[in-house]
Amino acid sequence: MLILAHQSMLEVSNLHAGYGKVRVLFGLNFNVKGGEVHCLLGRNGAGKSTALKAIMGLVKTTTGSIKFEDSELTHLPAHDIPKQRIGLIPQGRRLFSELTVAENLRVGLMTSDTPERQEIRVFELFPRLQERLQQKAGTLSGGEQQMLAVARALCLEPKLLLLDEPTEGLQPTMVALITDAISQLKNDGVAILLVEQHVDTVISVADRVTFVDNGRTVASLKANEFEDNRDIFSTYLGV
Amino acid sequence: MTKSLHISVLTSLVLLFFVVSDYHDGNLARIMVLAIYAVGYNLLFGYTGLLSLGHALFFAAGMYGLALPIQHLGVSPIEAFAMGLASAATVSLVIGFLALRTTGAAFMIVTLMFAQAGFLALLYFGQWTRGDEGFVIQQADRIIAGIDFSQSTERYFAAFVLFAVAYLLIAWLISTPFGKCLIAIRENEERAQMLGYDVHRHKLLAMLVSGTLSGASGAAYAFLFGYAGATFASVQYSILPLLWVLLGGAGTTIGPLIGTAFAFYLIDISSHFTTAHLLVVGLAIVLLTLFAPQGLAGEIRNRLISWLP
Repeated sequence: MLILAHQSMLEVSNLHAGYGKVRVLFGLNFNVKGGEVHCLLGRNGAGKSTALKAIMGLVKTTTGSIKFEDSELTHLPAHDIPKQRIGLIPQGRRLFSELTVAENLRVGLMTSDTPERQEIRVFELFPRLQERLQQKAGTLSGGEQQMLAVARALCLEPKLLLLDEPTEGLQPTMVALITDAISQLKNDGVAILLVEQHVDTVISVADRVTFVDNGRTVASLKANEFEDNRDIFSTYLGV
Repeated sequence: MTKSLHISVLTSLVLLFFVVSDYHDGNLARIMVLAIYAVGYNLLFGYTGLLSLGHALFFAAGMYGLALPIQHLGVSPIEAFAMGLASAATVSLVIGFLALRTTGAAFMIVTLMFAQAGFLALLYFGQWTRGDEGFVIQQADRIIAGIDFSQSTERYFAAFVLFAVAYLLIAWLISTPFGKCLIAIRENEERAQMLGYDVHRHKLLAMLVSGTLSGASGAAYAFLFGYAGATFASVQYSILPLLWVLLGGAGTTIGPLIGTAFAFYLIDISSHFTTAHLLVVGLAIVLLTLFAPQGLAGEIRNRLISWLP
């Protein structure tokens, strides 16, 4: 995959969005460059997950712009946005629990242009899933479910992957597996927009961090600025 | 394994005709025709996760789509059957287009309201439909190519063929990517959308197939049993397929047949002892909800045969 690093892939400008009459985002601004891991940080209710949903068309955007590779996403129906090769792994994984691992992947691969290649890639990244193919997704462990959620999103061969708290509720070994997978995807050139609460995970994988508070962008840091600005993490996460 | 099961189910239905008495042959023919209705309902409820309370409208659309042209226009049975299917398909497409703008409880209410409107329309246009009283399709109008479908043997095997087509159609459909997508929508609609599926279009197609199968059941019922009446469009006939599917096992291929047969014989046997046979059905539902919440086939799948389709 040819990705021009440092070129803005996703551009979110002055984004206002919410649920019905309840407004959550009040002018959010950030961009994600090709091949980088960009993290949105903020307290619960700051609007991070809403931002991801707005990008995917699941939450109505009232004003502002979301551009992906110069295409405006705000006017597209939700089911057309994954076809731009943007994948979302939502909070809580949300698998098709009554389907087997194989069927979950099959549902993902059915809309892929390169299903064979993606299947191979998925099993390279998560060999454990190959051992669980006939097992129902709902009976997998939390870590395995997260692997499957990532794997299913990879079926679309995304250029941009949105991850909403992928390490939530996982044991440390599983957290390490997921962060390794994120690093591998980054090395493959996949841009990643990560919503995460674990500061250590963020520091270990992120290239840039945007701090969100009350639906607005309040600060932004590059990886080499993390150590000198620990107080910003404390201010906006309370850690 | 799955194929063997389907063949066994269908072979058993053929063999049963030669084993059981004429009385049960008649019952089984009725069960198979009504099971087509349950099979259609199961596609929407069991596989797609949409709870409709208006399927009686589709059943009645098929029934009257066949019966009215025979009665008033003298149309041949085969043409009338095609009209019944076309009528059910059109009604399900229109109702689906409108009702699928809603979700959850609102979808239930909207489908129920449309079905009630259809029921009242059948009563209002009583000069043609004969309302609640209904009308009989004459024996002479139930003959195709010299085969008299009012006779028990012909009726049984016609019901069998129609049921087999519906049963195998759904078994095949569920194994296709379209079927897997319907299950994905049932499991998590938002995720299916996030994988690039047009959820509304898939639901509409499911509604079309489900409604057309329900209509096929209605048309077959009118033709094979020689009667059409507005009672079949009442709310009771919207609730019955839900009941059959819940009893048999929602989202299982064989569940609708098991549920229809179970409910039919439960009413048949209990009515020998009491007029409050619906109380017995209610009790059965309570017991099943407590001890077999997945329905009979669903519990068998969960506890004994995990590959049961």
